Amino acid sequence: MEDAAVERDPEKCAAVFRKIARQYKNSAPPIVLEWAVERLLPAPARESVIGDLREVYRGPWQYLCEAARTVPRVAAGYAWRNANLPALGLNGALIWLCLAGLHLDIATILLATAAGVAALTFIQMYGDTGRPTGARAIKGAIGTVILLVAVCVWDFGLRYPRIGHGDYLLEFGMLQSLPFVLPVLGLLRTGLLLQSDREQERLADDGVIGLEDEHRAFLAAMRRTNAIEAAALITGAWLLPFLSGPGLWLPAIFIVTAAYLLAQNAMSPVHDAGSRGDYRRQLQTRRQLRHFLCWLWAAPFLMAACRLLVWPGYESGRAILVAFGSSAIVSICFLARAADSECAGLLGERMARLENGPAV
Amino acid sequence: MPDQTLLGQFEQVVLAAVLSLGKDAYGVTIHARVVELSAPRAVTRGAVYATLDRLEDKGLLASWLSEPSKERGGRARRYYRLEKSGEQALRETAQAAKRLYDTLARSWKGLAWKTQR
Repeated sequence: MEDAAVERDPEKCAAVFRKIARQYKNSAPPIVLEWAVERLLPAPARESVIGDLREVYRGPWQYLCEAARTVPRVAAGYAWRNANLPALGLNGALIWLCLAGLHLDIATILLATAAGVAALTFIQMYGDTGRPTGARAIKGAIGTVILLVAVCVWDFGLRYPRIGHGDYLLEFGMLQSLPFVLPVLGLLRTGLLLQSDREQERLADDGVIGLEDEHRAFLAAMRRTNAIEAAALITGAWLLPFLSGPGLWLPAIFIVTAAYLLAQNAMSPVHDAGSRGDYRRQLQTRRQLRHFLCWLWAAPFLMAACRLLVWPGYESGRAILVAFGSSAIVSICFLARAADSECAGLLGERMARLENGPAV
Repeated sequence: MPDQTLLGQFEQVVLAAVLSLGKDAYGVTIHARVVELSAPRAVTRGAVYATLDRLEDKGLLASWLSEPSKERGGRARRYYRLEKSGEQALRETAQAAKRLYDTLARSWKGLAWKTQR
Protein backbone atom coordinates (compact mmCIF):
# COMPACT_ATOMS: atom_id res chain seq x y z
CA MET A 1 0.00 0.00 0.00
CA GLU A 2 2.65 2.42 1.16
CA ASP A 3 4.91 1.51 -1.76
CA ALA A 4 2.09 2.18 -4.17
CA ALA A 5 1.46 5.55 -2.51
CA VAL A 6 5.12 6.41 -2.91
CA GLU A 7 4.96 5.53 -6.55
CA ARG A 8 1.96 7.85 -7.08
CA ASP A 9 3.13 10.78 -4.97
CA PRO A 10 6.42 12.42 -5.99
CA GLU A 11 6.53 14.35 -2.67
CA LYS A 12 6.45 11.12 -0.67
CA CYS A 13 9.00 9.59 -3.00
CA ALA A 14 11.36 12.51 -2.43
CA ALA A 15 10.85 12.20 1.35
CA VAL A 16 11.82 8.51 1.27
CA PHE A 17 14.91 9.34 -0.77
CA ARG A 18 15.85 12.10 1.67
CA LYS A 19 15.44 9.66 4.59
CA ILE A 20 17.66 7.05 2.89
CA ALA A 21 20.23 9.72 2.03
CA ARG A 22 20.23 10.94 5.65
CA GLN A 23 20.74 7.40 6.92
CA TYR A 24 23.57 6.86 4.47
CA LYS A 25 25.14 10.16 5.46
CA ASN A 26 24.96 9.22 9.14
CA SER A 27 26.54 5.80 8.63
CA ALA A 28 30.05 7.23 8.88
CA PRO A 29 31.52 9.48 11.55
CA PRO A 30 32.64 13.02 10.62
CA ILE A 31 36.04 12.80 8.95
CA VAL A 32 37.71 15.21 11.39
CA LEU A 33 36.41 13.31 14.41
CA GLU A 34 37.56 9.98 13.03
CA TRP A 35 40.95 11.44 12.12
CA ALA A 36 41.38 12.86 15.66
CA VAL A 37 40.45 9.55 17.30
CA GLU A 38 42.81 7.70 14.97
CA ARG A 39 45.71 10.01 15.94
CA LEU A 40 45.10 9.28 19.63
CA LEU A 41 45.37 5.52 19.17
CA PRO A 42 48.76 3.78 19.11
CA ALA A 43 49.72 2.97 15.51
CA PRO A 44 49.34 -0.85 15.66
CA ALA A 45 45.82 -0.63 17.14
CA ARG A 46 44.44 1.92 14.66
CA GLU A 47 43.25 -0.32 11.86
CA SER A 48 41.06 -2.65 13.89
CA VAL A 49 39.82 -0.23 16.57
CA ILE A 50 38.84 2.56 14.16
CA GLY A 51 37.10 -0.02 11.94
CA ASP A 52 35.18 -1.40 14.94
CA LEU A 53 34.16 2.09 16.06
CA ARG A 54 32.95 2.85 12.53
CA GLU A 55 30.95 -0.39 12.51
CA VAL A 56 29.05 0.52 15.68
CA TYR A 57 28.62 4.18 14.69
CA ARG A 58 25.16 5.63 15.40
CA GLY A 59 25.89 9.36 15.61
CA PRO A 60 28.71 11.80 16.40
CA TRP A 61 27.90 12.00 20.10
CA GLN A 62 27.74 8.22 20.49
CA TYR A 63 31.01 7.95 18.55
CA LEU A 64 32.70 10.49 20.80
CA CYS A 65 31.51 8.74 24.00
CA GLU A 66 32.55 5.35 22.65
CA ALA A 67 35.99 6.71 21.68
CA ALA A 68 36.42 8.34 25.10
CA ARG A 69 35.73 4.99 26.76
CA THR A 70 37.99 3.06 24.39
CA VAL A 71 41.05 5.12 23.49
CA PRO A 72 42.54 5.73 27.00
CA ARG A 73 42.37 2.03 27.90
CA VAL A 74 43.88 0.94 24.59
CA ALA A 75 46.67 3.55 24.77
CA ALA A 76 47.50 2.89 28.43
CA GLY A 77 47.43 -0.88 27.90
CA TYR A 78 49.70 -0.56 24.87
CA ALA A 79 52.16 1.72 26.68
CA TRP A 80 52.33 -0.56 29.71
CA ARG A 81 52.62 -3.85 27.83
CA ASN A 82 55.30 -2.61 25.46
CA ALA A 83 57.39 -0.47 27.79
CA ASN A 84 60.98 -1.65 27.99
CA LEU A 85 61.51 -0.44 31.56
CA PRO A 86 65.29 -1.07 31.71
CA ALA A 87 65.78 0.79 28.40
CA LEU A 88 63.58 3.67 29.61
CA GLY A 89 65.53 3.77 32.91
CA LEU A 90 68.84 3.90 31.05
CA ASN A 91 67.42 6.59 28.76
CA GLY A 92 66.43 8.57 31.84
CA ALA A 93 69.97 8.21 33.22
CA LEU A 94 71.44 9.45 29.94
CA ILE A 95 69.10 12.47 29.82
CA TRP A 96 69.94 13.22 33.48
CA LEU A 97 73.65 13.04 32.69
CA CYS A 98 73.34 15.42 29.72
CA LEU A 99 71.27 17.91 31.72
CA ALA A 100 73.60 17.72 34.72
CA GLY A 101 76.32 19.20 32.51
CA LEU A 102 74.25 22.36 32.10
CA HIS A 103 74.55 23.20 35.82
CA LEU A 104 70.78 23.33 36.41
CA ASP A 105 69.17 22.77 39.82
CA ILE A 106 68.11 19.25 40.79
CA ALA A 107 64.34 19.90 40.60
CA THR A 108 64.60 21.21 37.03
CA ILE A 109 66.78 18.27 35.97
CA LEU A 110 64.36 15.82 37.58
CA LEU A 111 61.35 17.40 35.86
CA ALA A 112 63.11 17.60 32.50
CA THR A 113 64.24 13.95 32.78
CA ALA A 114 60.70 12.81 33.60
CA ALA A 115 59.37 14.87 30.69
CA GLY A 116 62.05 13.38 28.40
CA VAL A 117 61.20 9.79 29.38
CA ALA A 118 57.46 10.49 28.95
CA ALA A 119 58.13 12.04 25.53
CA LEU A 120 60.14 8.97 24.49
CA THR A 121 57.26 6.71 25.53
CA PHE A 122 54.83 8.84 23.48
CA ILE A 123 57.13 8.88 20.46
CA GLN A 124 57.37 5.10 20.59
CA MET A 125 53.58 4.82 20.85
CA TYR A 126 52.60 7.29 18.18
CA GLY A 127 55.69 7.55 15.99
CA ASP A 128 56.15 6.07 12.53
CA THR A 129 56.28 2.31 12.51
CA GLY A 130 58.35 1.90 9.35
CA ARG A 131 61.61 3.19 7.93
CA PRO A 132 61.63 6.73 6.54
CA THR A 133 61.34 7.05 2.77
CA GLY A 134 64.34 8.20 0.71
CA ALA A 135 62.72 11.61 0.14
CA ARG A 136 62.18 12.14 3.86
CA ALA A 137 65.75 11.08 4.63
CA ILE A 138 67.16 13.58 2.13
CA LYS A 139 64.87 16.30 3.53
CA GLY A 140 66.45 15.52 6.93
CA ALA A 141 69.93 16.05 5.44
CA ILE A 142 68.86 19.38 3.90
CA GLY A 143 67.35 20.46 7.24
CA THR A 144 70.62 19.62 8.99
CA VAL A 145 72.66 21.74 6.58
CA ILE A 146 70.24 24.66 7.04
CA LEU A 147 70.67 24.29 10.81
CA LEU A 148 74.47 24.22 10.40
CA VAL A 149 74.38 27.41 8.32
CA ALA A 150 72.10 29.07 10.89
CA VAL A 151 74.47 28.12 13.73
CA CYS A 152 77.47 29.53 11.88
CA VAL A 153 75.70 32.71 10.75
CA TRP A 154 74.52 33.34 14.30
CA ASP A 155 78.02 32.74 15.60
CA PHE A 156 79.62 34.70 12.75
CA GLY A 157 77.37 37.73 13.19
CA LEU A 158 77.65 37.97 16.94
CA ARG A 159 81.24 37.22 17.71
CA TYR A 160 83.55 39.12 15.35
CA PRO A 161 83.73 42.88 15.61
CA ARG A 162 87.01 42.97 13.64
CA ILE A 163 87.03 41.95 9.99
CA GLY A 164 90.36 40.50 9.00
CA HIS A 165 90.93 38.54 12.24
CA GLY A 166 92.41 35.07 11.50
CA ASP A 167 89.43 33.22 12.97
CA TYR A 168 87.10 35.52 11.03
CA LEU A 169 88.57 34.37 7.73
CA LEU A 170 88.52 30.75 8.83
CA GLU A 171 84.86 30.92 9.81
CA PHE A 172 84.00 32.83 6.64
CA GLY A 173 85.58 29.98 4.69
CA MET A 174 83.68 27.45 6.77
CA LEU A 175 80.38 29.22 6.08
CA GLN A 176 81.11 29.19 2.35
CA SER A 177 81.96 25.50 2.38
CA LEU A 178 78.83 24.46 4.30
CA PRO A 179 76.62 23.94 1.21
CA PHE A 180 79.10 21.26 0.11
CA VAL A 181 78.35 19.35 3.30
CA LEU A 182 74.92 18.49 1.87
CA PRO A 183 76.17 15.89 -0.66
CA VAL A 184 78.34 14.32 2.07
CA LEU A 185 75.42 14.02 4.48
CA GLY A 186 73.18 12.87 1.62
CA LEU A 187 75.71 10.15 0.71
CA LEU A 188 75.99 9.00 4.32
CA ARG A 189 72.19 8.86 4.60
CA THR A 190 71.89 6.98 1.31
CA GLY A 191 74.50 4.51 2.58
CA LEU A 192 72.35 3.86 5.65
CA LEU A 193 69.24 3.44 3.51
CA LEU A 194 70.99 0.95 1.21
CA GLN A 195 72.37 -0.94 4.21
CA SER A 196 68.85 -1.30 5.59
CA ASP A 197 67.51 -2.37 2.18
CA ARG A 198 70.20 -5.05 2.03
CA GLU A 199 69.28 -6.19 5.54
CA GLN A 200 65.66 -6.58 4.45
CA GLU A 201 66.64 -8.48 1.30
CA ARG A 202 68.88 -10.75 3.37
CA LEU A 203 65.94 -11.46 5.66
CA ALA A 204 63.76 -12.35 2.67
CA ASP A 205 66.52 -14.58 1.19
CA ASP A 206 67.06 -16.44 4.46
CA GLY A 207 64.21 -18.69 3.46
CA VAL A 208 62.24 -18.29 6.69
CA ILE A 209 59.05 -20.28 6.20
CA GLY A 210 57.09 -19.49 9.29
CA LEU A 211 56.77 -17.58 12.50
CA GLU A 212 58.96 -20.02 14.43
CA ASP A 213 61.79 -19.82 11.88
CA GLU A 214 61.64 -16.04 11.76
CA HIS A 215 61.54 -15.75 15.53
CA ARG A 216 64.48 -18.14 15.89
CA ALA A 217 66.51 -16.17 13.31
CA PHE A 218 65.65 -12.94 15.12
CA LEU A 219 66.72 -14.33 18.50
CA ALA A 220 69.98 -15.68 17.10
CA ALA A 221 70.80 -12.32 15.47
CA MET A 222 69.81 -10.45 18.62
CA ARG A 223 72.08 -12.60 20.80
CA ARG A 224 74.98 -12.15 18.39
CA THR A 225 74.53 -8.37 18.25
CA ASN A 226 74.08 -8.15 22.01
CA ALA A 227 77.34 -10.03 22.67
CA ILE A 228 79.33 -7.87 20.24
CA GLU A 229 77.76 -4.64 21.50
CA ALA A 230 78.30 -5.59 25.17
CA ALA A 231 82.01 -6.20 24.46
CA ALA A 232 82.21 -2.85 22.61
CA LEU A 233 80.46 -1.06 25.48
CA ILE A 234 82.85 -2.50 28.07
CA THR A 235 85.84 -1.49 25.93
CA GLY A 236 84.26 1.92 25.34
CA ALA A 237 83.79 2.44 29.08
CA TRP A 238 87.60 2.22 29.55
CA LEU A 239 88.30 4.61 26.69
CA LEU A 240 85.62 7.15 27.62
CA PRO A 241 87.74 9.35 29.92
CA PHE A 242 89.97 10.19 26.92
CA LEU A 243 86.98 11.30 24.83
CA SER A 244 84.24 12.69 27.02
CA GLY A 245 86.39 13.76 29.94
CA PRO A 246 86.64 12.59 33.54
CA GLY A 247 83.52 11.49 35.35
CA LEU A 248 82.17 8.06 36.15
CA TRP A 249 78.53 8.47 35.14
CA LEU A 250 78.81 7.73 31.43
CA PRO A 251 81.19 4.75 31.88
CA ALA A 252 78.75 3.46 34.54
CA ILE A 253 75.84 3.71 32.06
CA PHE A 254 77.98 1.87 29.47
CA ILE A 255 78.74 -0.94 31.92
CA VAL A 256 75.12 -1.24 33.12
CA THR A 257 73.93 -1.34 29.50
CA ALA A 258 76.48 -4.07 28.68
CA ALA A 259 75.26 -6.06 31.70
CA TYR A 260 71.65 -5.61 30.56
CA LEU A 261 72.47 -6.85 27.04
CA LEU A 262 74.19 -9.94 28.44
CA ALA A 263 71.29 -10.55 30.85
CA GLN A 264 68.90 -10.29 27.90
CA ASN A 265 70.90 -12.99 26.10
CA ALA A 266 70.62 -15.24 29.12
CA MET A 267 66.84 -14.66 29.34
CA SER A 268 66.06 -15.25 25.65
CA PRO A 269 67.21 -18.72 24.66
CA VAL A 270 66.82 -19.46 20.94
CA HIS A 271 64.91 -22.71 21.61
CA ASP A 272 62.04 -20.71 23.14
CA ALA A 273 61.07 -19.37 19.70
CA GLY A 274 57.59 -19.69 18.24
CA SER A 275 55.19 -17.65 20.36
CA ARG A 276 53.67 -14.73 18.45
CA GLY A 277 53.10 -12.76 21.68
CA ASP A 278 56.71 -13.24 22.83
CA TYR A 279 58.07 -12.34 19.41
CA ARG A 280 55.96 -9.18 19.20
CA ARG A 281 57.02 -8.10 22.70
CA GLN A 282 60.69 -8.82 21.97
CA LEU A 283 60.52 -6.78 18.75
CA GLN A 284 58.92 -3.88 20.60
CA THR A 285 61.41 -3.92 23.48
CA ARG A 286 64.26 -4.32 20.98
CA ARG A 287 63.02 -1.24 19.14
CA GLN A 288 63.08 0.81 22.34
CA LEU A 289 66.52 -0.52 23.21
CA ARG A 290 67.88 0.42 19.77
CA HIS A 291 66.57 3.98 20.20
CA PHE A 292 68.55 4.20 23.41
CA LEU A 293 71.70 2.53 22.06
CA CYS A 294 71.92 4.85 19.04
CA TRP A 295 71.96 7.85 21.33
CA LEU A 296 74.23 6.17 23.90
CA TRP A 297 76.90 5.66 21.23
CA ALA A 298 76.50 9.29 20.17
CA ALA A 299 76.71 10.65 23.74
CA PRO A 300 80.55 10.48 24.21
CA PHE A 301 81.10 12.27 20.89
CA LEU A 302 78.55 14.96 21.78
CA MET A 303 80.26 15.41 25.15
CA ALA A 304 83.67 15.54 23.46
CA ALA A 305 82.46 18.24 21.05
CA CYS A 306 81.21 20.27 24.01
CA ARG A 307 84.28 19.67 26.16
CA LEU A 308 86.96 20.18 23.51
CA LEU A 309 85.38 22.80 21.24
CA VAL A 310 82.25 24.62 22.41
CA TRP A 311 83.12 25.43 26.05
CA PRO A 312 86.80 26.35 25.41
CA GLY A 313 85.61 28.45 22.48
CA TYR A 314 83.19 30.37 24.70
CA GLU A 315 85.77 30.75 27.48
CA SER A 316 88.57 31.98 25.20
CA GLY A 317 86.25 34.03 22.95
CA ARG A 318 87.27 32.03 19.85
CA ALA A 319 84.02 31.71 17.95
CA ILE A 320 85.54 29.41 15.34
CA LEU A 321 85.83 26.70 18.00
CA VAL A 322 82.18 27.24 18.94
CA ALA A 323 81.18 27.05 15.30
CA PHE A 324 83.16 23.82 14.74
CA GLY A 325 81.75 22.33 17.95
CA SER A 326 78.16 23.32 17.12
CA SER A 327 78.49 21.92 13.61
CA ALA A 328 79.92 18.68 14.99
CA ILE A 329 77.01 18.41 17.44
CA VAL A 330 74.40 18.99 14.72
CA SER A 331 76.10 16.44 12.42
CA ILE A 332 76.42 13.81 15.16
CA CYS A 333 72.74 14.28 16.06
CA PHE A 334 71.81 13.93 12.37
CA LEU A 335 73.75 10.68 12.02
CA ALA A 336 72.47 9.25 15.34
CA ARG A 337 68.89 10.11 14.37
CA ALA A 338 69.37 8.57 10.91
CA ALA A 339 70.82 5.34 12.35
CA ASP A 340 68.06 5.29 14.95
CA SER A 341 65.24 5.66 12.42
CA GLU A 342 66.72 2.97 10.16
CA CYS A 343 67.24 0.40 12.98
CA ALA A 344 63.92 1.11 14.64
CA GLY A 345 62.17 1.27 11.25
CA LEU A 346 63.44 -2.19 10.29
CA LEU A 347 62.09 -3.60 13.55
CA GLY A 348 58.83 -1.64 13.09
CA GLU A 349 58.35 -3.16 9.64
CA ARG A 350 58.86 -6.64 11.08
CA MET A 351 56.26 -5.82 13.72
CA ALA A 352 53.79 -4.62 11.09
CA ARG A 353 54.32 -7.83 9.11
CA LEU A 354 53.67 -9.83 12.24
CA GLU A 355 50.54 -7.83 13.12
CA ASN A 356 49.07 -8.06 9.63
CA GLY A 357 50.08 -11.60 8.81
CA PRO A 358 47.80 -14.60 9.13
CA ALA A 359 47.65 -16.53 12.40
CA VAL A 360 50.24 -19.30 12.39
CA MET B 1 57.75 -15.52 37.54
CA PRO B 2 53.92 -15.55 37.52
CA ASP B 3 52.18 -18.36 35.66
CA GLN B 4 51.17 -16.96 32.26
CA THR B 5 48.13 -19.26 32.04
CA LEU B 6 46.58 -18.10 35.33
CA LEU B 7 43.43 -16.27 34.32
CA GLY B 8 41.63 -13.35 35.94
CA GLN B 9 37.85 -13.36 36.01
CA PHE B 10 37.48 -10.93 33.12
CA GLU B 11 40.06 -12.82 31.08
CA GLN B 12 37.98 -15.97 31.52
CA VAL B 13 34.92 -14.16 30.20
CA VAL B 14 36.80 -12.81 27.17
CA LEU B 15 38.29 -16.22 26.36
CA ALA B 16 34.85 -17.81 26.69
CA ALA B 17 33.43 -15.15 24.33
CA VAL B 18 36.14 -15.85 21.73
CA LEU B 19 35.58 -19.59 22.02
CA SER B 20 31.80 -19.30 21.66
CA LEU B 21 32.01 -16.99 18.62
CA GLY B 22 34.24 -19.38 16.68
CA LYS B 23 35.24 -17.93 13.31
CA ASP B 24 33.30 -14.68 13.84
CA ALA B 25 35.34 -13.45 16.82
CA TYR B 26 36.49 -9.85 16.26
CA GLY B 27 36.30 -6.64 18.33
CA VAL B 28 32.61 -5.80 17.87
CA THR B 29 31.22 -9.32 18.29
CA ILE B 30 33.54 -10.15 21.18
CA HIS B 31 32.49 -6.97 23.02
CA ALA B 32 28.80 -7.78 22.45
CA ARG B 33 29.25 -11.33 23.76
CA VAL B 34 31.30 -10.16 26.76
CA VAL B 35 28.56 -7.63 27.64
CA GLU B 36 26.06 -10.48 27.44
CA LEU B 37 28.17 -12.77 29.64
CA SER B 38 29.02 -10.08 32.21
CA ALA B 39 25.48 -8.69 32.62
CA PRO B 40 24.46 -6.75 34.64
CA ARG B 41 27.99 -5.35 34.87
CA ALA B 42 28.77 -2.77 32.17
CA VAL B 43 31.87 -3.46 30.09
CA THR B 44 33.66 -0.86 27.97
CA ARG B 45 35.12 -1.65 24.58
CA GLY B 46 38.52 -0.42 25.79
CA ALA B 47 38.61 -3.00 28.58
CA VAL B 48 37.93 -5.77 26.05
CA TYR B 49 40.71 -4.58 23.70
CA ALA B 50 43.21 -4.30 26.54
CA THR B 51 42.35 -7.81 27.72
CA LEU B 52 42.54 -9.26 24.21
CA ASP B 53 46.02 -7.78 23.80
CA ARG B 54 47.10 -9.14 27.16
CA LEU B 55 45.79 -12.62 26.35
CA GLU B 56 47.61 -12.50 23.03
CA ASP B 57 50.82 -11.56 24.82
CA LYS B 58 50.32 -14.52 27.13
CA GLY B 59 50.09 -16.73 24.04
CA LEU B 60 46.51 -17.79 24.80
CA LEU B 61 45.02 -16.07 21.75
CA ALA B 62 46.16 -15.59 18.17
CA SER B 63 44.99 -12.76 15.93
CA TRP B 64 45.17 -11.73 12.30
CA LEU B 65 43.80 -8.97 10.11
CA SER B 66 41.12 -9.69 7.52
CA GLU B 67 40.71 -7.97 4.16
CA PRO B 68 39.55 -4.34 4.46
CA SER B 69 35.79 -3.87 4.05
CA LYS B 70 33.68 -0.96 2.77
CA GLU B 71 31.29 -0.84 5.72
CA ARG B 72 34.28 -0.23 7.99
CA GLY B 73 35.62 2.63 5.88
CA GLY B 74 38.23 0.45 4.23
CA ARG B 75 39.52 -0.91 7.54
CA ALA B 76 40.32 -4.51 8.28
CA ARG B 77 38.90 -6.58 11.12
CA ARG B 78 41.21 -8.18 13.65
CA TYR B 79 39.99 -11.71 14.17
CA TYR B 80 40.91 -13.80 17.20
CA ARG B 81 41.04 -17.48 17.90
CA LEU B 82 42.03 -19.54 20.90
CA GLU B 83 45.46 -21.14 20.92
CA LYS B 84 45.90 -24.62 22.39
CA SER B 85 47.24 -23.11 25.62
CA GLY B 86 44.18 -20.84 25.76
CA GLU B 87 41.83 -23.78 25.43
CA GLN B 88 43.74 -25.63 28.11
CA ALA B 89 43.62 -22.62 30.46
CA LEU B 90 39.88 -22.23 29.86
CA ARG B 91 39.33 -25.95 30.49
CA GLU B 92 41.18 -25.73 33.80
CA THR B 93 39.15 -22.67 34.76
CA ALA B 94 35.91 -24.46 33.90
CA GLN B 95 36.94 -27.46 36.02
CA ALA B 96 37.74 -25.19 38.97
CA ALA B 97 34.39 -23.40 38.51
CA LYS B 98 32.61 -26.77 38.39
CA ARG B 99 34.27 -27.85 41.64
CA LEU B 100 33.22 -24.58 43.25
CA TYR B 101 29.69 -24.93 41.89
CA ASP B 102 29.40 -28.52 43.20
CA THR B 103 30.61 -27.47 46.64
CA LEU B 104 28.13 -24.60 46.81
CA ALA B 105 25.29 -26.74 45.47
CA ARG B 106 25.99 -29.37 48.15
CA SER B 107 26.13 -26.71 50.88
CA TRP B 108 23.04 -24.77 49.79
CA LYS B 109 21.07 -27.79 48.57
CA GLY B 110 18.77 -27.25 45.61
CA LEU B 111 16.13 -24.68 46.57
CA ALA B 112 18.42 -22.66 48.78
CA TRP B 113 20.89 -22.45 45.88
CA LYS B 114 18.13 -21.15 43.58
CA THR B 115 17.00 -18.48 46.03
CA GLN B 116 20.58 -17.35 46.56
CA ARG B 117 20.87 -16.60 42.85
